[in-house]
This record gives sequence, structure tokens and C-alpha cells, in this order.
Amino acid sequence: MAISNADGDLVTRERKMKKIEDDWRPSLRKWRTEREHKIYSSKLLEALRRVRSSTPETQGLRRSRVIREAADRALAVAARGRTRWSRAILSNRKLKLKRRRPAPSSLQSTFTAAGDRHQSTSKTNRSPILERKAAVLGRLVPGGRKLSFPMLLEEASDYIAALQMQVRAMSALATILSASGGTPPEGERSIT
Amino acid sequence: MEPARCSGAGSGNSGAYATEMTETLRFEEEIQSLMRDNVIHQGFECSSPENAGGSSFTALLGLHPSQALELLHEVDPSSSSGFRLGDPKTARLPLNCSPTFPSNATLIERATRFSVFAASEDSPEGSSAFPSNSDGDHSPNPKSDQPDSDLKPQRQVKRKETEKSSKAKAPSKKGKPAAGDDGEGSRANPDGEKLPYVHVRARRGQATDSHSLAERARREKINARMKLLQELVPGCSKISGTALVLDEIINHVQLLQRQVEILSMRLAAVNPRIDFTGLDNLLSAECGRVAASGHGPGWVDGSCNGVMRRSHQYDDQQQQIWHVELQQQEAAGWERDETQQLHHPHQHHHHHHVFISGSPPGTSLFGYDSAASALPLASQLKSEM
Repeated sequence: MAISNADGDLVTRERKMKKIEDDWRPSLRKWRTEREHKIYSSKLLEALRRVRSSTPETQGLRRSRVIREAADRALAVAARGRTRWSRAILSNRKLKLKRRRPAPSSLQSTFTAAGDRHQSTSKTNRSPILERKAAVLGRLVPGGRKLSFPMLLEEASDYIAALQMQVRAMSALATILSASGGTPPEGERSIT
Repeated sequence: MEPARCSGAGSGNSGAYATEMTETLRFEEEIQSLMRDNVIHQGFECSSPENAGGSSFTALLGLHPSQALELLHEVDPSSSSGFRLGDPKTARLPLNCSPTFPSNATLIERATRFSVFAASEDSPEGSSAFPSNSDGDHSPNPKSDQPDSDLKPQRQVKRKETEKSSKAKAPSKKGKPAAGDDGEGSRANPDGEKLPYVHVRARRGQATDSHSLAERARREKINARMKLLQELVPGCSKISGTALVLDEIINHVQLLQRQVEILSMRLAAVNPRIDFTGLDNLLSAECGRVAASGHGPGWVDGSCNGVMRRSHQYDDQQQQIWHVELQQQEAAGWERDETQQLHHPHQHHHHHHVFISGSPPGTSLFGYDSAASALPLASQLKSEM
């Protein structure tokens, strides 16, 4: 029971905090797994091939935008519809083409409603500065405009994790495609 | 850990609630220091019993009867307090049940200390980083390990008049369990976030009306998510203050979206040049390899086989691309679940099998050895053309 015990306790606490944190938010780790990466890459390839076959002659901006939207849609599909931003992407782009998932959305909406009720009973939400920043973030995250602040943060965290995976996958793909277009680089190891 | 022997700072209410959010680590050290000092303050607030009020006092005691007992009996209270704190009030123990209670004052002091102790771990970052003025109790320093050793003992039973303990489930993020008191950590309920209703434990001295409770629960949820975001965004951990963190988050999202646009432009530029129908071979091979090693190979095998059969139609250029792709893929710094070789989806395809057999199995690095062996294979295939 010396002072050193306190330090050890701190380490233990940090470890435990991490473990407890991971217990209730395991969802973010899935965006870093190899499996998700492969799933997304294959979906991306499919989408790219479709784009390539559908509009082979369009150049420049239009093509890149189409590709970007296809990539976003593939990412949203990879999210399996459990997050709000993925549903927003899919509902915006493929109107009525993809079947909605009413169960999770209703659950989410009820939870959001409960959260809003909490908010309404409490005092002032945030300072106006924070409100403004939250609004900006809501505009950035697809489907995040009418979200409450904690829900917005949760959506943003999942969205950021998914975006990171998307960037990694697309950069790998771009490097491979550009590499195999020319001579295969032998020493190229890093794809970032 | 030895129970805190009184030591309580019987000094009057400093009314400093900033220490509500003090970390349990500091609390532990304090208790130890207090134990060492072994100062017994008899000048404990005589008014404490009356301030405790009828219901709140019994409620307080009811919640921590076993802990008080353990304290008095010098049993390690850590594990028990972790469990007992969550007990419903049915575990209430009347005062006269235990003959060993030295004095009401001491008991109250210890009980309150433990309540603070337990409560403070509910949300160590619960003190809002936001300038919320609802309670006025929280220090504006969410993550500071304020070693308010002076204030801690001064935190008084006084305020427990307003203390109320609702259900035991801790809200949102559990935060740091008690240092060394693993039992405390177990009290932290990891399901708090998933519940539709968050049950909050009111800390000492805080208003217990539904408004502040809801507000506190909300704030803790928000703080938990902010922490998660901070870990996600690189370079955000050292920033304190919600506004700056939000700025960083927004910048990061914009950066990622811009990167996606640039990459999509690159892909658009590179697209017409390559016949990347053969690329799904590579990806499926990767999928198959990873999937069979770590996950269920069900869908992957199906797609692998389908793709592999399709690949027969393509010329050797696909093989070259495939080897290149494999090199590239191996070099990608992904989190590798397993990098073992996968033979069974490829065994019936001879050209793939050649490649697979060329790669040394169990390459943990997964990049360099197989790449080295792939190169001679690629040259072999080229010569075969």
C-alpha cells in the first residue's frame, strides 16, 4: 500500500477503462479489419467496373464524381445499414433501388427521440459556438443534420473510421492499377 | 487497501464541489495519506446527521451498509464496495444492527467518502468540458487529475442532503475504475450506453432533481463519445476543450473526404487503361486467403471459385497483374489477421497453385518473402507466354 501501488492502480485503471470502453463500442474496430477491407475492395471493384462499362467515354470531372459516388455507395453498403450515414447515402443515391431497413431506423429514431426528450428537459444545450460547430459537422456527415449532439458524435466516429478504410482501400487500388498499367514496380512496398 | 480510518476532515464544508470529479487515483492516495496520518477528527460536523435528513441519510447508509461495516472492520472494502454499491436499497442495514459502529459521525464520513469515491468514478470526465452552468458543481477541467487532497477531506457529508442514489447502473462510459479496487470497476456497468434509459447516480452534493440528472447523463454520454472521437482522430488527444476538438474532427473529416475525391480522380484517370476484370482475382484471392485463415470461408469460397473459373479466359497478362497486385497488397500495411497460405480454394487451378506453392507459408510479414518468390514466378510466366 505504498505510493507505487497508486501508480500500478492507475495502469490497471487505464487498462480496465480501455477494456470497458471496448465493451460497449466494439463497432469501430470493424473498420480496421482485413475482412472489411477485402469486402469493400471487392465491392469497389465491382462498382468501378460497372462505371467503366457504363460510361467509357466520359472524361474528367464527371467520371471522377461518378466514381466517388460509387465508392461512397460501396462504403455505405459495407456498413450494412446500421449507421445513419450509410442509410442516408444509400437513400440519397439509389432512390428506392435499395430496400430500406425499417427496423434499425425506427430503433434509432426512438432512441434519438428519447435523447431529444432528455435534452428538452435539460437546460441550455451548448454554447452557440459549439452549436455552430456541431452544425458544420452535421453537414459534413451524410444524414447528420437533424441529429442530436451525442448521436452526431457517434455517427461521426463511425463515419471517420469508415472513411479511413475507404481512403486506404482506394489508395491501394489506385496504386495497383497505375502500377500494373506500366511496369510492375519491384521495390514499392508502402501504399499510403 | 486498508480502510480509511476516519481521517476525515471534519472541517466545515468547503463547499468545493470541484473535487467531485477528482480521479479515484487521487482518492486512493488520499486515503492512504489519511491513513498514514491517522488523524481523527472528532470535530466532525455535528450537524451532519441532521443535514443528512431523514430519507437521504438512511438512503446513504442503506446503500453503503456493508461498506461501512467493512470499513469499520478493516476489511478491504474495495471489492465489496464495488459490488455493494450497486445493491438496491433492500440491502439497507439499520444503524443499530451493527454494534461495532463507533460513532455516527465516523460512519457517515466513511460512507460519504465511499459514495464520493464510487460516484466519482462514474464519470471521471463527467465534469463537463462544456461551460455548462447547470449544476455549477463541476470543475471545468474534465481530464485533470486534480489532487485536491485538501478539498477531498473537506468534502462534507453536508451536501449529501441532496444526494440521491438511483439505480446502480452507471451511465455511459464507465471511466476509470478505482485504482486497485477492481471491485469498483466491476460496478461500472458497460451496458449503460446501450440502455434506452440511462440510470445515473447522483454524486454527493449535486442536485438530484430530474433535470440535473438528465443533464448529467447527457453530458456523460457526450463526453464518452468525444473521447472516442479523440482517439480516432490523430493528434486530438492532447487537445482539451470541446470546441477545439470539434474543429479537429471537422478538419479531419474534410481531409478524408478530399482524399477520397483525389483518389477517385486518380482511379478515373487510370480506369480506361486497365482491364481490371482480372483484378477481382487478386482481391478474391486475398479474400480467400484471409477468410479461410480467420473467418468463415463460406461466401468467399463461392466467389473465389466463381472468379477463378472466370479467370481462365484471360491471358497471361492477368497473371502478371495478379502477381503485381499480390506484391502490392502484401505491402499494404493492413491489420493482418492471419497470413497463412490458403491452398484449398486454389488447388484446382493450376496457375494459381503454382503461385501459391511458391509463397513460403506462414509469412508473418506477408510481404517480402512471398514477393521475392513471386518475382521469379512472374518472370517464369512471362517466359512461358
